[in-house]
Amino acid sequence: MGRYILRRLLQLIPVFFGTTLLIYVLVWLVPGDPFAGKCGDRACPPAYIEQMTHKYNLDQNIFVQYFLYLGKLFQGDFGQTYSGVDISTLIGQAYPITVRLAIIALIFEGVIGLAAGIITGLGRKRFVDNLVMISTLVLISLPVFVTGFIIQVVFGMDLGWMSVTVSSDAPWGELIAPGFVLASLSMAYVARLTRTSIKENKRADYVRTAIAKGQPQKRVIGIHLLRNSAIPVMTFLGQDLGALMGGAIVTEGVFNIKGIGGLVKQGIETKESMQVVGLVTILVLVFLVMNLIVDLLYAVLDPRIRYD
Amino acid sequence: MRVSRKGVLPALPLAAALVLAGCGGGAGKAEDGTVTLYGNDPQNPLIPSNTQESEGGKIVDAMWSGLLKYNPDTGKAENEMATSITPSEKNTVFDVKFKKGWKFQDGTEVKADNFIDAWNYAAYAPHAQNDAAFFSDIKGYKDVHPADEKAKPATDKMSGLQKVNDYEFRVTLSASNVTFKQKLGYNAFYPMPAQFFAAKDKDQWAKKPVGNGPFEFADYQPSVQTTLRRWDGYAGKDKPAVDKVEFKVYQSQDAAYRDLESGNLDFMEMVPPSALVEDKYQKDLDGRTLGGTVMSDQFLAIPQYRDPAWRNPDLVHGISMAIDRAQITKQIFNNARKPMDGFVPDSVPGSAPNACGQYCEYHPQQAKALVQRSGYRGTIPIQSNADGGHKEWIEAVVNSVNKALQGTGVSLRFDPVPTFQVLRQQQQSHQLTGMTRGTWNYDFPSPDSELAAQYETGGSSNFIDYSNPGFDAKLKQARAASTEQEAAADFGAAERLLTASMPHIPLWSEQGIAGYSDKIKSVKLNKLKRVADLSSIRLAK
Repeated sequence: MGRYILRRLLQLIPVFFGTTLLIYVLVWLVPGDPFAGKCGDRACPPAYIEQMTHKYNLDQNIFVQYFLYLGKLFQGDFGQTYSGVDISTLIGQAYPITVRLAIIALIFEGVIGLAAGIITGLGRKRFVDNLVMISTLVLISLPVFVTGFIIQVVFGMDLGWMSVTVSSDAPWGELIAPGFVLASLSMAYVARLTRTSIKENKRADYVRTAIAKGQPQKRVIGIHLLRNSAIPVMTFLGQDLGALMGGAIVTEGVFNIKGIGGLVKQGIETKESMQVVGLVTILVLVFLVMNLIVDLLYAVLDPRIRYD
Repeated sequence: MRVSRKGVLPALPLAAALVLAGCGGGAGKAEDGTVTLYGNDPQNPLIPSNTQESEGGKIVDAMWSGLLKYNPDTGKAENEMATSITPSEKNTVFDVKFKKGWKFQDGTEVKADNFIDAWNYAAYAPHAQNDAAFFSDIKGYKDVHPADEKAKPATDKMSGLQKVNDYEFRVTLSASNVTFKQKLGYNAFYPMPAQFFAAKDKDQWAKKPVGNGPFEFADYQPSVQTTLRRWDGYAGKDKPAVDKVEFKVYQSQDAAYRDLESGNLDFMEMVPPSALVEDKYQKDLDGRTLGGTVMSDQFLAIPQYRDPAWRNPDLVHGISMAIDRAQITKQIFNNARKPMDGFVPDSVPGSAPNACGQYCEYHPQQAKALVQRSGYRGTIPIQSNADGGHKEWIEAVVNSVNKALQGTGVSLRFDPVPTFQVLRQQQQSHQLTGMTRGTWNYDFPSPDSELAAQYETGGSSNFIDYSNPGFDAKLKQARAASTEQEAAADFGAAERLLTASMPHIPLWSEQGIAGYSDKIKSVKLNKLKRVADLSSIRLAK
């Protein structure tokens, strides 16, 4: 196991360099001078453009720029936005909020999604099964911004149970509704995935063997059936956590949450290339680590998988 | 079975969650005396002469006072710090006297040197200030800001600025200009405190800037909000009624609008398009709205360097008369735009009424005849980025023209460009292959702001290379006029010269539709910059 982890960690290095180089090149090499549109409907003064070009090393070869950027990155310097705000400050401010939102969403997915999946997978009640299938279908077919908008209008404006948007420090309580909205789609998938997985495995050979051996039903379901059925669900949740940690552009936009997704969107809209590169680099790291954790969890769940 | 019943109600935890959120929430409500306004992150460090976009402008304007201030009702510049600005007979020398005892927020007094040094700093090319061009009227500008910006300027002081005493200085222009005075309310002309010039790192200084206006800087949280406090040492007459203002950053206008409806946001200078549909905002906000033409207009520009046939006035007049402006402003913009009848919006003091005449009206029959007379046949592209709502109106214009000109062989086509930057680059490098769109936001309340920049030979935004000696001469004559009334007559004549050759097709001017919460009793809209006039905010008791 230890060697496997080490090998995976070493693999992260070329992946990190490859992706960040790609991002850097893609962001800075988009057509159009990044400062041509900075001054609204007027032309920017040439002296301003020249100064900014120099400040962001744009007068250098793109690869030289990239290595200059990396050099600073390894010293913990993510660079500055055009208005002189440290990008590390922005990340430090937004990341805790994104993590809180992701945890809440994951809890919704895990608790409600898994519960609904297990109940429908194991149970034989037609009504319950139909109810879960239909309600998940509704959630899957609704775009997130619609779900968000409905919750905002009904619970925020009509009933007044919650504030319409989330305040800037985003306490846990205010993130519950956005967390539900963010989780709604994945929650539905988790429920369906769990249900199908359990139904399939119920007829698997090892389950029949366990029953034939005369094991108590509790053990058959708890140890054999559920644990094995959890593998695809775990994969999904792991991937999803990676996505959640990357911020939720739509949900954050609807509720005005100051998370990572909003920063990425703002960076793209205002052409703050440095901000986009910095944020996406962080996202790459988060994704890589999340993937590693998910892979390791397989071994815990499935005794057949060995990493040595 | 007990278990299954719990699981079937995924809605229950949600309801519980929302009740919880309700208890934990309420943080969005501001305490008394605080007003929250819609805002965004400033795009440049908060130095007035480096600020030219609206978000930074909102903050800078609240923190500084200039010699003049733009009256929110008339849009005209009126004395703020100045006691008198006396022009010489020919409007070439302006003698500026201003109030004694007016202080910066660090306690130092505003003296003539604070103005002179600030203006010299802003104009000096190596400082790369965005607003440097505003000083180009002043004598000696070319010495501090050579046409070739890479060349080292001969000096860092403009010879046209002379101190008389601590509270009086003299501005000499390189040519007579009656409209110069109107510019003095713009943020580029604000005075700067001595500590700014002493600061080694100006961008660092701009993180906690010090001005001389009604509000002082309190806090800036990037991507969250900028907070300003009322400064009680403010010497001006319009003392603000609010204690604190917050410019809150929103990721979407719609989220901001819902906050406005529910009272978490107090002012939004432009309600989102979704609220304009069927005047929904009127009902939503219970009449707490403000309107009026803002000094901003939109147009189609025709590059004069491309196809000589496009310079034929008959063709351009015909196309212009085939655009049903009234219909498009109603259906696409829900009346948030108003058809133009000239090249200058009618909210600009001194604009000529109906300078474009019948050529900016919808007359499909005449349009056809004119286009046929021009002898041109072909499809003219309109180049623009498609985002930002531009695709919709450009397609409406294209449809309107193509329908009216059917059978003439002349048509328009929308030619999308990937991003706004690419469009700007094509415009600036003279590589347009068709018409393009443009917007002009006024910097100072005079037709000169738009006419000089867009149409004068070599004007700062004249990317279509329009050159008309007769027009240039009229503009010069207007600036050399002895009074603003005389100037207005000449500007009107200049506008009519534009109508004759039509380098731009005027489309519509912007109707500001602002909304405010029930916490505010009354507020005025600054027509020049489309922002709230902070001093005019009165709170509901």
